[in-house]
Amino acid sequence: MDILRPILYYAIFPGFIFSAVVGLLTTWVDRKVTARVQWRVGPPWYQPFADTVKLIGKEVVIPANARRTGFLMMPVIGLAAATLASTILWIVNLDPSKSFVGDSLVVIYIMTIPAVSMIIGASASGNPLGILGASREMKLLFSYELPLIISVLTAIVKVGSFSFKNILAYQSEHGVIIWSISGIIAFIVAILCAQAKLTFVPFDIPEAETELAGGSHIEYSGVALAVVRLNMAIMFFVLPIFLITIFWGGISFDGWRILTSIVKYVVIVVIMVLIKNTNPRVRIDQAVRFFWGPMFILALAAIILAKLGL
Amino acid sequence: MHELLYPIVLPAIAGIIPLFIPRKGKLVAGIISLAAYTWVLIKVIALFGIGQLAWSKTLFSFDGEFPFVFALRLSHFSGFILLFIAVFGALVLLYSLGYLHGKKTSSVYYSFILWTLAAAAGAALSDNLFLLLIFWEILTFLLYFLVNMGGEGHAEAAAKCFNILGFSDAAMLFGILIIWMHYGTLSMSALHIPTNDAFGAVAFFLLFTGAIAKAGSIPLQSWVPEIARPTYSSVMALIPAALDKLLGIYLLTRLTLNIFIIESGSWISLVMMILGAVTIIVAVFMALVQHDLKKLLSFHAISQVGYMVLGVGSGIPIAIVGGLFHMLNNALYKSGLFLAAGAVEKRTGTTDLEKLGGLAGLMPVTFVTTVVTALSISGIPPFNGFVSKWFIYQGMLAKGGNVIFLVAAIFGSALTLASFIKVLHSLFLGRRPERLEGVKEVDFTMQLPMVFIAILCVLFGVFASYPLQRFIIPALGLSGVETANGAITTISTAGFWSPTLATILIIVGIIIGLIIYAFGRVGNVRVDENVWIGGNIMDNEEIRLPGTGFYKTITDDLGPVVRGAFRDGERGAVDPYNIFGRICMGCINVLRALHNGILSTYLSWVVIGLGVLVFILMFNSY
Repeated sequence: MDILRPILYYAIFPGFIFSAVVGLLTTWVDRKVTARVQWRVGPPWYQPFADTVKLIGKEVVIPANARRTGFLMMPVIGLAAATLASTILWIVNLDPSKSFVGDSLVVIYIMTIPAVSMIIGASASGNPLGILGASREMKLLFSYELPLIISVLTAIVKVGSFSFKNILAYQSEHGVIIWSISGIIAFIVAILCAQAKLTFVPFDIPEAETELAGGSHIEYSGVALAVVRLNMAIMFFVLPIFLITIFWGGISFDGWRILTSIVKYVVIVVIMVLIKNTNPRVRIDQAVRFFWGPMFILALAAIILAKLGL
Repeated sequence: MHELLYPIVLPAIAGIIPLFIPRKGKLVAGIISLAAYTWVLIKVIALFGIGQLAWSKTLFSFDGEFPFVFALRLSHFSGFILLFIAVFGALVLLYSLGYLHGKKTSSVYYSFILWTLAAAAGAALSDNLFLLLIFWEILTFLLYFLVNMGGEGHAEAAAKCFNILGFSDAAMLFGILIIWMHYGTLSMSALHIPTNDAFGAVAFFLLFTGAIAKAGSIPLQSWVPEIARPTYSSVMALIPAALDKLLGIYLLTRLTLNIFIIESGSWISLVMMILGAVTIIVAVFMALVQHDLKKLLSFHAISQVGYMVLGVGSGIPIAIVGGLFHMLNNALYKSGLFLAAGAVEKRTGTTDLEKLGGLAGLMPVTFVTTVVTALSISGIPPFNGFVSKWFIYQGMLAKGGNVIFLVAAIFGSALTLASFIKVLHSLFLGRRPERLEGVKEVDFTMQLPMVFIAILCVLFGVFASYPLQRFIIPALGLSGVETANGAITTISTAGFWSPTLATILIIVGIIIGLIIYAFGRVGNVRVDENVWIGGNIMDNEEIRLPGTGFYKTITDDLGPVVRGAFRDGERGAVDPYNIFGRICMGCINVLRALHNGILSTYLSWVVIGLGVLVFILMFNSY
């Protein structure tokens, strides 16, 4: 069956089950490293799974003033989109001939859907703190999107093509993009944007536990919260893979390259976790100014350098 | 009567009938108009099936000189434009039946709409530049009347609209004169004017003015937001959202591809691309901070034109395909959005975002259609807006494109999304003000056009290759377009992302999510009546957060330059219309100072005038 194969890819490997498992494991890495930074022991590896299972069993509470269908459906739509992004990324990494024209931009677009669905869900929750979180998340989204796109375009300009296939082929031929001046600048910008995309500190402004008490997640509980968490875990898995594919030669499963692939992935995850643990939260206007100011200029510099061939 | 005359003559004649129907019978007038126009729609579909046809008749000439040829030509391109004019016409006529119910509108409304549709069909079919201009002027004139039928502030809005469009029509007239004097013909299919000399370039920009003023691109955009508030939503959905985009971009495409020869990468192409990119960004920023739904939508109508001008102006085949497809998609979702705005306005009596909220459960059909059209305009896959923007992005990376324009296009798309998140929140999601309890969904006649348009938005996204192969590529390919980068017919849609598969996968994902929900106990939820903030239970009005404050950070906290720019834009200071108005007022004030009401001053002016006259007559002996 022609249609069954993509559905299997999507549902099991490298789609939903695989992404969810690795994503949850990644959140464990996050928690463990965070704990070590704070001189704690940290949870055992299965903790995120236990949390998810427990949340699924919990009661769901919905505010009376929420738009119920939208409120409950949005995390599911986000989950579907995050899984789709993960599937496309893995398939092109494992078999570049499956790549299609311009898949890199398609993936960028699809990666915005989880954030958007979170925003709409929070807006439907009827809780003013949730709505405040939603408005902040939206502002954060369009502030980091500008430098993120430019930094990805830096790689695209260097390669001269939109598609992952050519980006990967270029990197195996000419060396990875990160080892050029424009490449490293673009990578730094992109990793900071990824930090904001995951709403990690210093850009956890929409959730801001201490001031908004969870912000956009505030009203989610039980299985809905489990889906929200799963969503974030998959995004935590997708973004490093995306950065590796664009800037760092991609992921491969043959022979020793499995090991280097895992090392690349862990390095990026640890960098993100360290940034997260060593910075205070910024205000939303500071974040917008940061992304539209220094980050935008850096990204522009990167793209100009790339045009010059550096 | 020749077949090509049907779409022009039939609505024109049918438009006379509502003139004789009194205000009380306007439903009858509407039904008659709808019936007549449905017949026209059937004729137009038949015409579209025929494909190519031409008809012409010389109406008059002065001794064989200066013939005025009433030349109509149906090509795949004009056929496709005509088809969608007719589709939108029928939808809006249907919508108007319910929308006008209970409004103090006279039946003449239907006459104006039918005549507008007739003139639009004429403009799409005419093969003579002067004939095109005449239809163009009729459209301007009818729009003036239709705006004037609207609510508070209609007079100024109509005047501004008429002035700007009239100005652009005058510019077109000059352009046509230049072409007539230099090339001796006005037949659109016969002209191929090079633009590397001054005459060609000037003529191009004069005609270009007419095209972009109609479509609503910077710098001649400001009539669209001005008329948005007072004008009926049905009129907004038909004319600025659909017909003007179709016709304006149709003319722009004909100008850049057929009538003038513009190399991709030439300075004219660059000017158009810059205008397009600036339009996208500036208009979307203005849209972000609007408080009125219709005004917000009108700024998006401008912003979206930027994509089309960028795509068509670039001269890169794939971007032209994207630009034209975007024109079609934009006509769909933008008129869908205006129709939804009309539905909300009809039931709540306001389009002020601050006074609305929580309508999702009460107006479910309007809500769903708005979500679909809003996601389409934001370019979220798999809806139609994504596909057409996608082709434009693709073109910007090709030879002759520029990455900076690509950044502007993608960034504009993110801001569009932000703006529509605000709309969805303010209208449908957020907390419902108590005033709006008991609001009901609109009538079937109003739902049907919205639903139809939303379905088309989904279908044109998921099965994008059908409209591309059926409408866009034949339209360009068979009008003999050969650009520097190869013939447009060679573009195939194979190898692009397959929206169908992606849609199936997203549906599978949603099913997976629902299975997880089924595992959890989402069936037996507990509904909590109260919202606790800081340990207190708050009442509804106290914690209602309308979306209008969402982007205050952008306008207020980013420093004085940004703040100043927004305030400037709000007041319309950068609007060329106002600048021109101010210059004229300066001149008028000088003249006014001469009118001091003292008889001797006037007498002395008369004597001076007489002296000048005598001087001229004496020293100019013929």
